Amino acid sequence: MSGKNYVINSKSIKQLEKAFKQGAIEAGNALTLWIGKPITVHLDSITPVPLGESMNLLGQPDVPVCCCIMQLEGAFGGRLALAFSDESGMALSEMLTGISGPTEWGELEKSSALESANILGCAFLNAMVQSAANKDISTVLPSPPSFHRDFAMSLLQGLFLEQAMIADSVLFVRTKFLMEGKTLVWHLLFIPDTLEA
Amino acid sequence: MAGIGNNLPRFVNMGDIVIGNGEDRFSTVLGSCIAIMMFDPTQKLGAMAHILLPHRRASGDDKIGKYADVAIPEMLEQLVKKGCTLRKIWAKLAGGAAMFNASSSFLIGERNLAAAREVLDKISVPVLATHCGGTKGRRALFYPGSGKIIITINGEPEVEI
Repeated sequence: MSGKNYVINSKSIKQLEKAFKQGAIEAGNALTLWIGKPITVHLDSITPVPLGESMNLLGQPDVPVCCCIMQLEGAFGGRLALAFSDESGMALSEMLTGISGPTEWGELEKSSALESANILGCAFLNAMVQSAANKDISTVLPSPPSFHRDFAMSLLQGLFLEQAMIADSVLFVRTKFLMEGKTLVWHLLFIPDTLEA
Repeated sequence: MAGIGNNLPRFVNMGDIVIGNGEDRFSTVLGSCIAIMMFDPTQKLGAMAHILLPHRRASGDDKIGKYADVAIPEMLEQLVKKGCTLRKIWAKLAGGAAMFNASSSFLIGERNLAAAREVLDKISVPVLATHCGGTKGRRALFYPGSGKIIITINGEPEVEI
């Protein structure tokens, strides 16, 4: 990807921990405003994980899950993904549209998920970039999110592909969501391209 | 043999190579990865590998089942050690999707498939069927005692290859 001037590896990702935490806080604030219920987003892990273990991140490998994915360009490349179960996604749609009991992913439900991912992702990235205190990370441009529903392991293979080509462990930032004290089955994954083998 | 006596199929993770017969069943889930399934109809013995990349890196881990170029000869060697005959063995392939239509993803799925075909061609193992490409993940269920393979794409009817 052209224009990249910063490499995120296992060392630098630790240095960015404060920036990720700030990103998570702002993502929670943005989601609270968007949904109208208090939601907090917490940094969960930023540790490299063996590739095999990473395939269980979203639960059972052959269970379908949903994923809204934004490609990142600019100072560094990678992907930002909001992943959730059908049940959690439908609940989100119901909160946003007021239409109760959706059971299938129609255009309205997908649109709710995509807009939520867009708001969440942009808030996360903006706060992260602003608090990074590193002039090399001045611009990160996310693409509009795309909606995918597929087997969990299939989606994870796609997400970690870039890293798997050069390393045996994968590097990512994972957050967890709490709404009114309860853990939501949502995962925000920031997966940088990395040149580290 | 793996999985004998179990009701659930044995899950074949990335980089795994498994051999089975009789009532064994192997399953795996694929995105850009490829499942290589080999079967000897005479011995009624089959093998499944879940490869991730086309070629082994110069430096990297030594789980040879991750790489098409080294996993396939290893499968063949294991089958022959169990009494299979090279000229009787056939292969079928599944996977190799471009999950998000991104250029790199597209390339790696295709490259995995091309590498697998190239190695199989080199060792004269015929590829009888493939279920590859597209932008969707797949679940592959392999019966190594009969060679039967069922492919499921999420939201679509299952198909036998």
